[in-house]
Amino acid sequence: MSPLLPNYLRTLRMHAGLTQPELAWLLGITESALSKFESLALAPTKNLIIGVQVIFGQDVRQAFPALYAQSERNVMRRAAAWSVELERRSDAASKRKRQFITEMIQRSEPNNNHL
Amino acid sequence: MTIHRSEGLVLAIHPTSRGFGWALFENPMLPVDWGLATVKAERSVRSLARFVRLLDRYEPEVVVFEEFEERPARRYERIRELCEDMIQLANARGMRTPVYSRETVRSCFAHTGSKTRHGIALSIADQIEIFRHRLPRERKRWGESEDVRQSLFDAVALALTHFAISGKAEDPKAS
Repeated sequence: MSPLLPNYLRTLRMHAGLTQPELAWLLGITESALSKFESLALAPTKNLIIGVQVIFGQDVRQAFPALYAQSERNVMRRAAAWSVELERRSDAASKRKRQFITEMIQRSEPNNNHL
Repeated sequence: MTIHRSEGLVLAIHPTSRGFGWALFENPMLPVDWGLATVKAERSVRSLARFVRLLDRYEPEVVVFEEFEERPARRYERIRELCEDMIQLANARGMRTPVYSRETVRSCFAHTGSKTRHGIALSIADQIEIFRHRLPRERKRWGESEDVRQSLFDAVALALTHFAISGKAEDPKAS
């Protein structure tokens, strides 16, 4: 996954024709904070991510690809380790969990290709 | 907006006597950022500083410029030197810096029937809706100062020219 920009907050704002004060007001943050989010000086917060989805209809994978990629990598690393652990068990619950993890990894791969 | 895989970001720069217009694209249909850098004093130094900030922030793969016109009256010496400094800075970072003549840009937009820079700006605003509200006013008479927003559209035209030319070069069927 190699998104060209770590986040598309500024792009989304520009495409919507919004000024920084207007978007900051909609998000309920200061203009200075928005500027820092846009210039990557501040890591996006939960409120920002949810606000962006509400305002622009863009989910975290599209609007904040670097953050999404980082979280996805961490989850997948843990899932892979857990899957190895589950391989050693033969009970029905472990089998079901292994199937779930496989599906989760498969779901993640098209996303990686998309980005 | 859909985020597409692309080879790299393309930044187009169009310097003027008051700064420069710039546009950053992921692909011809996806401008990711754009603007006008306006400087009032120490114009070359400040323009270069703004340019470096753009390079630092976006690390484009390609930085596109317009060819310097032969006629000295058309472009001030200072702007020519500024462009050369910008090209050097971008090259030093390993970025490609194609330079297109105004004639090449015009020929890329020939299919739209646009012959003037303002005509090309109108054609861009038609193609890419988000630029519509930034359209510069047309110069009514010779000698009237140009709308500063024209340089933004000139930069967009340069970027689209680059995509058209590099796309053709990569596609053996297109020629």
